[in-house]
Amino acid sequence: MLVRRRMLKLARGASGPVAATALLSLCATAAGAGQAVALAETIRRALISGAPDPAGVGGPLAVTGLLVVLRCLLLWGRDQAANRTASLVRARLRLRLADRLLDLGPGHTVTRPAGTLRTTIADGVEAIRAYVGFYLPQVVVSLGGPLIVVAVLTWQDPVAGAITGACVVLVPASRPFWRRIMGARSQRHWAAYEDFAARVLDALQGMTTLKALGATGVYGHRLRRDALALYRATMGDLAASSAVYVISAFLLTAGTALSVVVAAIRHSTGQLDAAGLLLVAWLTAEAFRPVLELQNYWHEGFHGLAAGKGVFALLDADAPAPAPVAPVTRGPSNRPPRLVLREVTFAYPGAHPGTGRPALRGVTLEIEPGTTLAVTGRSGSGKSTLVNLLQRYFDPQSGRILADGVDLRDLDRDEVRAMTAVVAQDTYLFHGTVADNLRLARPDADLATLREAARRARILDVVDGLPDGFDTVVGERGARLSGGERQRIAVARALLKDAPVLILDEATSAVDGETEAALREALGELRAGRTTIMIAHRLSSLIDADLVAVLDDGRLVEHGAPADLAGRSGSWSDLVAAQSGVTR
Amino acid sequence: MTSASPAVKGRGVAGLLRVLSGHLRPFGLSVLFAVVNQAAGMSAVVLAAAAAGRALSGAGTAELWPMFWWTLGLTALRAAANWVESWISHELSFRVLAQIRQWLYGAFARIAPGGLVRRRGGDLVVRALRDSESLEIFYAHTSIYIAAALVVTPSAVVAMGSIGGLRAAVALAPWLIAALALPLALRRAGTRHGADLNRALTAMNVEVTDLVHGLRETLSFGGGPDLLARLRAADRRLASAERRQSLRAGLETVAGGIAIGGASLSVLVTGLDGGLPAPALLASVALAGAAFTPITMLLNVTRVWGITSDSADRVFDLLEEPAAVADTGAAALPVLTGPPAVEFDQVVFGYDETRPVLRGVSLTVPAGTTLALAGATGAGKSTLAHLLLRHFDPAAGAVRVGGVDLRDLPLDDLPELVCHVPQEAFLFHDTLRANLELARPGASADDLAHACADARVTPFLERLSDGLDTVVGERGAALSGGERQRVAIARALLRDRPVLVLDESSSQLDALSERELQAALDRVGNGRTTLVIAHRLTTLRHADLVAVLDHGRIADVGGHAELLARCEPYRRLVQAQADAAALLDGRPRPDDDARR
Repeated sequence: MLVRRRMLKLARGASGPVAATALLSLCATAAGAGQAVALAETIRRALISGAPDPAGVGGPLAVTGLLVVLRCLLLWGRDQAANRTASLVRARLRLRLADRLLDLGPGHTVTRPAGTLRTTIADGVEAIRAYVGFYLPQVVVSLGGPLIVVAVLTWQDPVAGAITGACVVLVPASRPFWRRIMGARSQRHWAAYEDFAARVLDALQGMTTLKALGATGVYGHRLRRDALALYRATMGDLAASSAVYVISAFLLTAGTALSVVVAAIRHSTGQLDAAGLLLVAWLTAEAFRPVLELQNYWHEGFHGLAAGKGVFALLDADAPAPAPVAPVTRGPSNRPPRLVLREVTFAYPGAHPGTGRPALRGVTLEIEPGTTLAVTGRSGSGKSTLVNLLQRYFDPQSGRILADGVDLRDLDRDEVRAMTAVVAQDTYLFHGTVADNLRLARPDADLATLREAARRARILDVVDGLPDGFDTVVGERGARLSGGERQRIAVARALLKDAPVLILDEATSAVDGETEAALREALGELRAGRTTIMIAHRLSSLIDADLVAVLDDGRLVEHGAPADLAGRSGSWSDLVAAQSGVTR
Repeated sequence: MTSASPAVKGRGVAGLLRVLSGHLRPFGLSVLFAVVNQAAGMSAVVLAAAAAGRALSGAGTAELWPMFWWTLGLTALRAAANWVESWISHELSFRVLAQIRQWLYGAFARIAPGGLVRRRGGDLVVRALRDSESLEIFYAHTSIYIAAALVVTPSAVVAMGSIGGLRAAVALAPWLIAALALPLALRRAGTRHGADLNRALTAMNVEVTDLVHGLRETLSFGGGPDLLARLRAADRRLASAERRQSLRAGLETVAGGIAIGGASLSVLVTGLDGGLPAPALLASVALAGAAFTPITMLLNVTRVWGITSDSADRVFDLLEEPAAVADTGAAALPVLTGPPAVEFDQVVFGYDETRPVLRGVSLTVPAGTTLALAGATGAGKSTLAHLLLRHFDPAAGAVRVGGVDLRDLPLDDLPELVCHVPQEAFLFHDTLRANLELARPGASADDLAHACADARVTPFLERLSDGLDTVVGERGAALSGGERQRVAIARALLRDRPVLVLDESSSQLDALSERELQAALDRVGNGRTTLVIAHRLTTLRHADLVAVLDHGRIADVGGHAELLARCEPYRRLVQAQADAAALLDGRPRPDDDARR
């Protein structure tokens, strides 16, 4: 049976509804048994009296009919209760996971593939819903229901009871036994199958590239060949893993049919009376009903268990930047802080590419309030890591980051987040209108405020040109904005947020030259009176900084005013040379 | 997997069944064994009841033992048939799924990328594959149970006739029909509920996507509580869709239960009335119950029918999606002695009719030169490249390569002429070598080494653990954007086609990467006619010609310096970068230079 103790805990808080579902289901089994008893009695009276006696048969016949209806109603109630339970469990679990993710923060998504997380919270939770709502109650019923029926059977005829009882126990018990034998093969089969599905996905997503390379034929042929190879390799496994069905099908039929024939033989030798034989004949099938239904829910059980792994991984994840025990506040002021990095060393935890190597090594920097620091360096040199740490997605392993002398670790997390506004290389737009996306930064802003922010972010014309202006739905299933347009939305958000620290992470990388020039003006206004950290490659952005820091392989290698650095030979002058097209 | 999907024109069941027509043998075998499985199971139960009846009529042990062995034999037969059925039916679904994937591949090959632009929203590919997988249950179970029920259920009625007489058969039949008819009558509602449920699930997935992918923004703006509220609301909508679905499904359960009970009682009463002997009476009542097995199994799997047919509809939609361009050309490729000229002649194009993107563009890229397209976002640079790659065809005017209108060429021949280096180079989750060899199957080690050296792939190859045999990860995640683009350039070098379309990455690169990329680009443009969508100053400077696109028209064509001097839109575009470079380089500003 696909039950693990921890999975049961997911049903906690819904144990009442789970129990109610199981109880309704048990009552339905009891009604089914009663139905069989009444039917047996009807036939007994008819056969023993020799000729049908309407009065004698009428009673049990009516009872049988009533029990048929009652059983159906109970099953209907069970279905509805199961559905309710399932919904309840899902709502709780999904919110719990969402809450957990919000607590873990972006640090968690930096180190883990976001796709997996999405699958866990979207599909995984649905699988758990079915597991707790449908599979678990059925497990209870498949344990209790047959027990009642077999007890009645044994009371009538121990031999028939023993046969049915053995078969009922062996049907579910035989599955894990077979699975253990077939498990490795079957798992290999599924792993290969999923690998192949991933390759097809890969091919379809890369179709534009395949077409451009004129390789659709070649690649398609390769996929077809692999599909064939996979098919050949797994058919043997499939034949073996399907053998699970042999035993359960055999036991099922043996339990319902052979036990009846055995009872008939025992009647002929006088060991069982007519009433007993009739009862055995109609009741044995009832013992298997719950077990059969459990098999119908096997998928729910299997997928639920599989989904549990992802769910528990999220619930058990270490917070990369836990909330402080005794949070300190920097005060309500909106004045720009003095930011200091002192000997900061940091390596990404977990499966981040480049694990084990520190992304930052002993970086020390001071950013005076209201000034702009530009950070540049090769990709992988640690720029983005610096930004991640300044927003406290992670805590450094050694060294400290201070805002006005207070360690970020001790500051209230909401305050850290409220302190900074970020314009990133890629900005996420939520499913909703443009106005919704802007109001995220300032919920009470009226349309005039939004328009003004959009105008300053050089995005107003674009928004006005959308089919419904500020009410146009954007995001995953809405209108798409280009990378440059999204960046400008982010600038508008930053304007609306009005935070004392501004982080510009390649903020104008995706806009064209003309827009960039205009946007730089806007960002220039935005920087006034704020402490700004700017990550950039383009000289046109870097020259606006008070201070330039050049990172290389996690170390701070150059550091000074742009004009001062220009004179020296080093990374900075390389950059100038590359971008101005001059070789030195 | 390039075979075009055959006309799968049907919708729903008809369409799904038509797919089966290519797999009749495994389908027939699955149905055969399903019939044996169900019939043997049913017979065993009926035989056992008959044995009980005989015992009640006073039969001796000697008469009952043969019935025991028969029952045992039927039981074994059933178990064996069950095994074979489940094996072959899984094989069937495996093959059908492979087939549908093959068709999807063909469909995507036909409509990508132009047709995909039209179908915005969601991750189309992921959804298409998920949809095709949800058809598995149809091919592994539903289709087989339908066919088996068609055989076994009437046989059960006939058997009832021979055991209990015509009256018993007549008593059974209406209940069987009712058990099948009610769910079928509810099917329309089921389809609607399935669609509702899918919609609610999709809406929920959007919220989850917002949660996971928008986590930075949510936390930065304190949007957590709001997002949780939205999740809660999406959950409520989903729960209410499920409630409706569950109420209907429950009704089907009730109908099934009542029908089975009703059938048993009707047959019993008819039998008692007709004075059937005990063996026949018991056997017919047992058969009345067992006759519903095929229908119950069928209804169990069709409960998710709404979801299946919804998925099937979407898959078929995609298979029938027309290509973005009509592949009607039959002209031979032009015979080239050197790189051909590329000509845009009065080209007009818009993605929708109300908003033209290109309004009469005439432009020639002289043979063997590099022309850089400059222009603000939305000016039409990428669209022009799309037309040269025939992702779309112009609404008016023509695109010619070496004097041949592209529409006159078979679509499959275009890659022989034109090679594309996209802005976001897509790398397959495979080794670097496999990714490169796609461009030239059977490339020698020398070819690869040269291409890697020229495209500046070699410098970062050393960093990779297994060199060319390093697996690059999903979408090439193990490489940086600049590195991926250099791999794309190496591919173009291996392709070695006379015309090159280069969509320069708009994201910023660090100094060293930028220089390496430029070196690679210089190398790949050599001896080819190249159209570059330019974002970087260095590219504009290196190009033979620069064409300035402004609101769908060519504003000017000329060299970089010339344009700086005379073309105002161009100056606005590059001023900022040019200024900064000049300032820090301690040289005079380029426009001062030009003005002087």
